[in-house]
Amino acid sequence: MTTPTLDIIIPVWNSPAETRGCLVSVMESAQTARLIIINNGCDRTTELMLEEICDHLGERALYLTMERNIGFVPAVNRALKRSEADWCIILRPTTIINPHCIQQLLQTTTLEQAGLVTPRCLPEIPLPTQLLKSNCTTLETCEISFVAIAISKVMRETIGLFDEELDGGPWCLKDYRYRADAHGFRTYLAATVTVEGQPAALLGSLERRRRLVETARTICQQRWGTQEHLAIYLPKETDEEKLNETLKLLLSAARHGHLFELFLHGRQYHAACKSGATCLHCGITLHKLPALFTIRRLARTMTALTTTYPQLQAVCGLDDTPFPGFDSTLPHTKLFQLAKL
Amino acid sequence: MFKIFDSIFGMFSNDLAIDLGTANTLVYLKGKGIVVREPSVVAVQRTPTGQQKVLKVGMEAKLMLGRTPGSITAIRPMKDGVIADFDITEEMLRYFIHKVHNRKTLVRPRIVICVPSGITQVEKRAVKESAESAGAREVYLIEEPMAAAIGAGLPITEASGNMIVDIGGGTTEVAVISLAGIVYSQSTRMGGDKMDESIVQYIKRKYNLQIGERMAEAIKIEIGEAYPGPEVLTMAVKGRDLVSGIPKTIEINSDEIRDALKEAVNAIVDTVRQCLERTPPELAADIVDKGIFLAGGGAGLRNLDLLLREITKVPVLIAENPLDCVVLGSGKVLDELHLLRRVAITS
Repeated sequence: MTTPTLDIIIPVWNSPAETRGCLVSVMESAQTARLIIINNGCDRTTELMLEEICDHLGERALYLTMERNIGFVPAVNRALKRSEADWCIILRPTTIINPHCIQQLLQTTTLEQAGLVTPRCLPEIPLPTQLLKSNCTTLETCEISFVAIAISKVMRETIGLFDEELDGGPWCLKDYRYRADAHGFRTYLAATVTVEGQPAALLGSLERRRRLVETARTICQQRWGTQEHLAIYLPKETDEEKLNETLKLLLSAARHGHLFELFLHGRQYHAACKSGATCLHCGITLHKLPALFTIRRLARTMTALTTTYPQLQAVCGLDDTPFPGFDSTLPHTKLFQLAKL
Repeated sequence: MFKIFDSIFGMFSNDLAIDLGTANTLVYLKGKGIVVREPSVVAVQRTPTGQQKVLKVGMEAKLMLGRTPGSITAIRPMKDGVIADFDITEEMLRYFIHKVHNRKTLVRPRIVICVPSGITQVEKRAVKESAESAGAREVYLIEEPMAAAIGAGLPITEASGNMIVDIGGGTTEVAVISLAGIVYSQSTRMGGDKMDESIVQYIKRKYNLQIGERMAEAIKIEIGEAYPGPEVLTMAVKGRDLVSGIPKTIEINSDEIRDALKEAVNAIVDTVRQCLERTPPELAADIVDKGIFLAGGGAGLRNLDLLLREITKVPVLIAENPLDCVVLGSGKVLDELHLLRRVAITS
């Protein structure tokens, strides 16, 4: 199998010291990749630094100069239009990547229907709970960030570019991921690959930002519906086949951006772990219930979860088994609706 | 050990804020306001041994400009917004510090000094060392646009974008400020001095009349404009005819001066436009809402706000006290030490 070709996109606006750090780490990590550097209306110092680095890189660099600052997402889109490689990685100019990061990311790109691949972006994306419990190297996710994200050419050509009308942040990324999912492309988290980046600088007045985020959220919800967060309890007598059916259903729904808390008894939990359920999707969290005081533990965990996630709702199990301790639970068919089956 | 003396002397000293400008130096004394407003000029006598002896500083030195014998020279230690002669600047600072302390000795004040935003680390260090040698206990440097924005009363600590244009004697600084930091700044070595020079050159070229810098400054203040106003102003100008060599008086109007200032004004407008273009759209949107604030002596140039509004299509407002904005802003941070530590730059 041939190694996919790679473009690395870095839109730059000032901060020459941080940008230099990012570019040096990229040059050390990706020896053959082409760098697409966008000068997004930088000051003279940064401009000189970028020119110097591009001169040094020669044909390995594509230097795009914007006459004015067009914003981060439009700059990324301009670069994506110019990218010809099989995969391209978008980095913020403050991101620092480890020496073998790119190579490891590229290995993840070979996974089934991979359209987006993200490393663990610290501190922006928290560590998924599953990773603490298992030794997964890759799992599907819904959380992506501009700190570092790899996009396949095939997917890019199918779904197009980022929506510049959205907030240029979380909702813009969510919309892109939803579009990828709608076309059957999957988003993978390369769990062993870590990159560090500073949080995105918040620019503009609070009121304007709030309005922008609110508009982006409304547009996204109109396009893709509301993200649900559901808790499911499987009774002790549920067999492995039914468990696998449920997991399949949840995986399908999690790919559409929904989150699930699945409560399992010890035997079921071990069976699920054995079949690799902990490495399925970041949106599915498995909870092991103890053999004793099972219902009390379930109630306590649910209380804690609903405190943290007020939108969490309980769903009936298979055959519409009610969720213990909850009078009003959503019907089991809700899962089929979310999975769009 | 020295720290103990510093803190003891510090108790008997008053904190100062200094706007070390190319044309004028303003000193703000904590609790009192602006106490010194003098030209940045030092009269120096050269001794036969080659050493320099400071004779007069400030207004007295400016009055000596052009009237000195060969051994005495009137020096402007600041050029294009930065220190051109460190020894003389140090002497000037020492003079001002002692002047505001009623010539008491052993004063060790805390000093805030405004510097142009584009100066290098070496220049920053030099300013700091000059102030320390002049007797400062602690020296904080603030970038001029930041001080001007504080002085103009802009909400610099908020996350929204604020644009300030500080047109000084030597430089024009344009900056976008958000969250108590300069997000983007651009500086051009174009200011009031260059405008004066343009007027001198224009009159020389058109009327063969040699006028002095002070006359040029008076013309700029009296009839200078950046954009045509409702009426054409005129002024009688006295100078020396370059052909006959004898004094002559001519009458010039504001249209001619606008023409003379065109290049300087265009440089300022271009800097503002470039800064707006290079500001991220999120902050530019705030600036469109709030407008651009003009500060510094150059803000007083007639109709400059109209011209900027015409070109940028953004509201333009002149700060309440444009000439004193920088020193008032740095004086304000003397009262708010937490803000001072946030906005002060490291050297």
